[in-house]
Amino acid sequence: MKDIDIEDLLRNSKPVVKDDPTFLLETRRRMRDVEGIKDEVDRQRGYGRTVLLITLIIGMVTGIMVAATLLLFPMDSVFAFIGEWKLYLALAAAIVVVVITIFGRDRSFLVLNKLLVFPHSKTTMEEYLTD
Amino acid sequence: MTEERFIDLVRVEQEPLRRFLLVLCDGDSALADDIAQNALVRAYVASGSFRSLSKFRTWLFRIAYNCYIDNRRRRSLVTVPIDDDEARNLRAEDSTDSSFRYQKLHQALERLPEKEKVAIILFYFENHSVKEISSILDIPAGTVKYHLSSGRNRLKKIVADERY
Repeated sequence: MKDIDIEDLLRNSKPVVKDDPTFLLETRRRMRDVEGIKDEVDRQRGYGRTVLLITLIIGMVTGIMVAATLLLFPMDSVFAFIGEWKLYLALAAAIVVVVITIFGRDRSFLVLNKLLVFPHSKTTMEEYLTD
Repeated sequence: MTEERFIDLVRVEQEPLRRFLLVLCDGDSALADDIAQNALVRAYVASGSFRSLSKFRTWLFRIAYNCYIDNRRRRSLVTVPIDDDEARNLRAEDSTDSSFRYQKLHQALERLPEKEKVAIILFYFENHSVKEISSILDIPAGTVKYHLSSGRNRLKKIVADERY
């Protein structure tokens, strides 16, 4: 049997799906059941975008400030300034936030949201589904 | 995406989607429709992330295929082995579209390896391009071409052996 035969056979054997008017009705019913989850997912996605934008702005401002400091002050005074422990702490915190933002992706926003803003919010899809 | 807009798109795509899953589920229309509905709900929840980078149809088929894989994995965890006669009776009476099931070509399709079967169904029954199949199955286009060629040869052999 040649290739063209099996191809013709396949093209002419497309199965017929029985028309089922209840299919879309049932689909709509299931969609309404998960409407709350969809709203929450959309809200979290919007929140994630906002946090990403804020992180970007903070990064740019910090960069500009560091550049300005290096240009305006002699290096000796800059080293003396960052020698203070509080600045080290702030730098460490900034690095942690950047690392979590980069590697944690969307999940990190949910966790940060839970830790810092809404302690009772959910961080996994399983929590939404089992709620 | 609003519910109405989503339903409008689904109205157009429901038939090819149900047909695709019907063949994947070896003619079990109840199971195919259940998976199709789960896929549509999953697509609706994720519709906010749909950016029209791919066609809605390709995106929907990809979700449906993933739902089918999830369902098969779940069933394989809970399946209790039963003898062949019992299985045949169950399928024929309860959930099998017999007019479809007993066509020899479709029986031959059931014997193909998973990826070859899916590639053949999408290419010949649903008229998807190789690029679209590559996106749905998340494999390179060259691999899709290989599966199509290998699937055709295997089908040809099975059909010839059974003196179709």
